Amino acid sequence: MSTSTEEISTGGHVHSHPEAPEQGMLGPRPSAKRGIWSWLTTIDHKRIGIMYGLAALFFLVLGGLEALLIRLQLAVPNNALLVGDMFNQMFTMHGTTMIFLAVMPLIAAFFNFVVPLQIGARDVAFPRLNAFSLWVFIAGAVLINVSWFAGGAPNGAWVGYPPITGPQYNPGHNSDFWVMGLMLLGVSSVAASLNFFTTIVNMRAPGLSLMRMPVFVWMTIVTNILILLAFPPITIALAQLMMDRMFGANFFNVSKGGMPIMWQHWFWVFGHPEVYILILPGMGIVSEILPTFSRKPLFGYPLIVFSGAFIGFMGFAVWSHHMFTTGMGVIAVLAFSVTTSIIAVPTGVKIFNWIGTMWGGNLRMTTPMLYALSFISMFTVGGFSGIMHSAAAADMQQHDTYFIVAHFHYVLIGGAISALFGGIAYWFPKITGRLMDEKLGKWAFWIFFVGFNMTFFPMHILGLNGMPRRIYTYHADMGWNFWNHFCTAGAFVLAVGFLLFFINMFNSLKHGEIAGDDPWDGRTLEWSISSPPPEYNFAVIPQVTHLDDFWHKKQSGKASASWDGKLIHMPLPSYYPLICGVGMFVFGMGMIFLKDNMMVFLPIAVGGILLLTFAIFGWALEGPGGEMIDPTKESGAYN
Amino acid sequence: MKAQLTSILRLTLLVGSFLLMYPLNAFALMDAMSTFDVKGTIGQEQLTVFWFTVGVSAFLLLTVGGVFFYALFRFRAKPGQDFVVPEQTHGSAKIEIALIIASCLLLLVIAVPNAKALFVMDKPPEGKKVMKVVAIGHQWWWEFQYPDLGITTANELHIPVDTAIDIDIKSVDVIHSFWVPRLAGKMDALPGQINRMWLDANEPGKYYGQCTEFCGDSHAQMRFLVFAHKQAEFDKWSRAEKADAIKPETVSQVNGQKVFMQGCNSCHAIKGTNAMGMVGPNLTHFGSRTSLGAVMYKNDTEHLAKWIKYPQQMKPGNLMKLEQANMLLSDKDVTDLVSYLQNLK
Repeated sequence: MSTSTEEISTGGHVHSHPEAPEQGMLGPRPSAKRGIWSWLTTIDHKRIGIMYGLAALFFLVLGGLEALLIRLQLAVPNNALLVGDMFNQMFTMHGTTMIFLAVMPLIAAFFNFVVPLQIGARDVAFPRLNAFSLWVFIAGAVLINVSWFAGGAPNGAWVGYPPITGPQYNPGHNSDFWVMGLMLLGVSSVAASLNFFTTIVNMRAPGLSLMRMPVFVWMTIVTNILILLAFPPITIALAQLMMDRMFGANFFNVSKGGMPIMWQHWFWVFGHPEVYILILPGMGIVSEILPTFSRKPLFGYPLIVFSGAFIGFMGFAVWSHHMFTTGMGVIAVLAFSVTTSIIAVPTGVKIFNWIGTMWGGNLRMTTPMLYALSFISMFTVGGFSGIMHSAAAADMQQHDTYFIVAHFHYVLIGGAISALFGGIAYWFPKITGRLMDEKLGKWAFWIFFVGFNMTFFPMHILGLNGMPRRIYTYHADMGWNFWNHFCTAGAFVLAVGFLLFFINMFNSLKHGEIAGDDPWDGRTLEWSISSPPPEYNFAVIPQVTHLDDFWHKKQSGKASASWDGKLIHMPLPSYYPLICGVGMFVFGMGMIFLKDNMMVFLPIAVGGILLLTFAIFGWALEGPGGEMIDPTKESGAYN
Repeated sequence: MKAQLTSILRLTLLVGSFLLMYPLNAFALMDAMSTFDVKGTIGQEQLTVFWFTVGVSAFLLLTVGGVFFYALFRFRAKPGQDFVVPEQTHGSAKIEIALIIASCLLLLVIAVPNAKALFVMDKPPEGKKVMKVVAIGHQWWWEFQYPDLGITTANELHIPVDTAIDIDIKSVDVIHSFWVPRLAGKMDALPGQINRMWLDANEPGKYYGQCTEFCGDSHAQMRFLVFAHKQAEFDKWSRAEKADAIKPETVSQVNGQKVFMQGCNSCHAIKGTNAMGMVGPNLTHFGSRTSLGAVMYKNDTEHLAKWIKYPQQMKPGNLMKLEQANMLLSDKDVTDLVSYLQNLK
């Protein structure tokens, strides 16, 4: 029963207490446990996860409203609701918002909340860097959306192919916002990926060997390796485009010998792995939900893990299948066609194994399970259309038509969003301590499912019938009228499905049934602690002996170990990550308007950099710090 | 028993409705830009590959989907039995290996016709008649040149049937993509790069085309037409097209030409006059075209007059910025210009 402050138990390791200064550059470190400041300065991975999640859902709604406007414009031929550039801004922002501001941060929310709990850790490896990622993400997200009120939103499609985004054909600030915003988001993602990679490699509970990790943790580490490798290419491309736009460089300026096709290679070397960044975490979530509600271990666990890693690896070998029509030559087209079709194999393996998990199980049709089943079925349909355009010859017809739009919405809504909403319903009791309402949840699910298929299945038909994507209107005699009308109706049904889900969430927050620690009879470590978890997660770090360790302990009747009496060392909150985010935002705004008025905006940009520099020094000098928590005295839960 | 029957019925309905969708589409989709109603060698090859992929998908849908739905209904927890813990099985190496080999074989079924089609698309078959065309993308219209015939036209491409049209595809500004779905798949037009494709039409007719790479404000209005003619008719068309523009005859047409030469000529060319602008479409035989503004409107008096007066209203963003430049023509000048242009058959 040592209560000495010399030896502290952190994540199963013991080390001596570093000498931290009492005061930072901004006076004493923040210590608020409640209220707005406790959230702004927090470095608790759970609170950061919640903020990521709420921001992501906000942008999901925003991107959804943009989608509804797009569908309204396309509901009838020759419509005049959003003509030309307005429509282009709308679909550019819809794509950018959904990918970078909704799905990626929603995934980050799960990484943050779930991963440390599943590996038996008390926080991530770099808690302040984690807060930094959050605030830089918010800075980038706000920056891109400021464009709506500053002369026009980005309008060069989410792929931003120059020259249409270059200074010659896009003289406004639209694309400047896009370039700077994406750069900030890239900084956020790379910082987060380093953090989670380090956390998973170093901070697993004793006994939690790699092949005992939950599949969600596996998919997290694969995804973060993808982010780490895929974001440098897009950052280079964005830097080149920024130099073209802001400093008159000629990377993509044809009249000066620039090569627009280079952008497409840079972009898709990032862009294809990005697709797997969006879908692999969903696969991980489904691999958690299915075993729980089948009451069986995952069928073929090692194969699911290896096929996930293989998909991630192959993601870097297929980028040119987005470019079959750019005149690469027959051999290159054939080669990328073959590598692309190979990805169908590990994907198929996963689907077989999920069905294998259900086989012989005792399936409980709860809301999270329904979303997981929706993931499997809808992702499979998206996989079929994927096989169809992996055949390059067939893709020559399908490329840039609504067939492609149908395909990636099946993968991203039917796939990623299904899984993520399943994940929300699954972990909601762990996050809030209360269950979501099952009846309303099922209504929301079925309306979502029907609306989704109504909206996106007919787009296959539209595409094969010749409707190109990214067109703001179409002529009445092309045979596209009926299905476009139908899709728009479907989009509103889908919106109702989302709305009911949100109503359920916010209603359950107050009135939901009290969940208890383990409402689903879960299999992994997060279900062994209270809901919501205390600040330090685990009073005593668990000793892991099996895959699905908590399930195994429950089955063999071994109660969880009681507190060993060691005080728990937790890091202190900090102002500096937030200040870094503000500094980067100011810097971004200065850069965007630099060419308008050097005298005003250069000082603003420099000011932003100075603020950032100040925050980094303050961060470095305040030291890791820390406080000792007695788990018998403090509950520490954030709500 | 009854519960099982309804389960099976539900299953059949679900799988069946998914399966039926694709074949049904194929019969129903015979519209202006259908990828099923193809009349060209390449389009046919690409459609064949598509049907192979549909076949493989349908097979997988039946097998994998069948097993999925079977498992879903068969292993559902019975009411009040949801606490029962089933046998904890972990996997089976034999099943996994068999499934991996089977999926690889299925992919081969697609890979072979795909490779064949790609090589057919690469160059026209030996011994086929070949005609050279250059297609140039502009924001937002297409310029077509026939280098061997000395013809330049816009938005309406005329070709002879059963001839391989060897097309050089270029762009003068941003990226566009050349697509005539009923004849062949698309090829991008990139600035600073010349892409090649070939296509043919094996039936005379009118085929719709459209730019499919996002290219700015009026991307939706960058359409074009391909007219395939029997050889004799094509020769007749090309002779007429090669000739200089018809001289104005009536007073109104003469005044129309005068108006044209006071501004329009800086962007538009008319062969046989001193209008030699290269920015906008060549108007030498404008009167013989069926459409206006890249197949946006019918080429008739009403639309042409509106176009000349309010080009930005008619097509947002196009380079004819008369409204902004305060170059509004009087109603009489517009009428004369229209009659001059319509006479350019």
